[in-house]
Amino acid sequence: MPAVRRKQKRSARESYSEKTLLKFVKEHLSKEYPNPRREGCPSQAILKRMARDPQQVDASIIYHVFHCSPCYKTCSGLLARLKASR
Amino acid sequence: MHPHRKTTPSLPFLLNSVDHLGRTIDPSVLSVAQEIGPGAVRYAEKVLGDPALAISLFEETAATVSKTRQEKAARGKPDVTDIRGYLFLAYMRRVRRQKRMEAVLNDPTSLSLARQAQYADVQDMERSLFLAEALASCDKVTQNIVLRRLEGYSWKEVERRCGVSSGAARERFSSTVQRLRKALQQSRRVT
Repeated sequence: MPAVRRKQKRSARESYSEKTLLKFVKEHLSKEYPNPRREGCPSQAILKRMARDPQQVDASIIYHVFHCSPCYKTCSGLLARLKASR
Repeated sequence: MHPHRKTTPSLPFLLNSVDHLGRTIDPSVLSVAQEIGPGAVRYAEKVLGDPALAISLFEETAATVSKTRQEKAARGKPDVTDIRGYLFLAYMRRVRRQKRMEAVLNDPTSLSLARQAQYADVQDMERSLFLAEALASCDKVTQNIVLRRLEGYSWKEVERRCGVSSGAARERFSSTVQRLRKALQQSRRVT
């Protein structure tokens, strides 16, 4: 087998599928930022607004959600509820 | 009604413009360092168990990157194109090296299974950090798309909520997935 094909095959074997990647991301966001003192957390109303209308919310809020597991979980729950209600 | 949650503002991340060896950190490197610092130093604290050492290594790395850029400029070589990525990887390598040195100093007799397990933990942490770095470098719209796709929203729903066409959303999402994939492969290479 030519070296290029071997290399391609190896890199395909070593790379992650989209599903696996999303699983990693979800796990990462819900576990890696415990924030027990809820430092810098926005109110529930702002998170709800972000779930309903993300364009109306400041970039700092989404940045926070990506760096705070409790807020991510809340947001994830809100998004799931919103999806189910459609 | 939800009661208003009392919040405490997070402390700003402050970095010295000179490392502990007295080498200055270039302002352009310093501004990038301020951006990636909180996440990267937090990770190093977890790995090394010493906040002072973590921050000191970070300043040291920033000073080294500044020096490298100056040397490249003096030799007429092209500048570093992605300072953020360059600084981040350089710091990861330094933290890894420090961790390895510690393990050898504490247990010179050798590479036991316990040490391998410790490395597995470090690898998990590194994987998380690389993911965080890749996600943090996305813009607001892309982050919103990712958030919705994680909850299984269809492209039509993403289009309606995020104000971008489903085609554009797909493109942004797939480039983010590529970036995440690359980041995870980088995390393997650093180890």
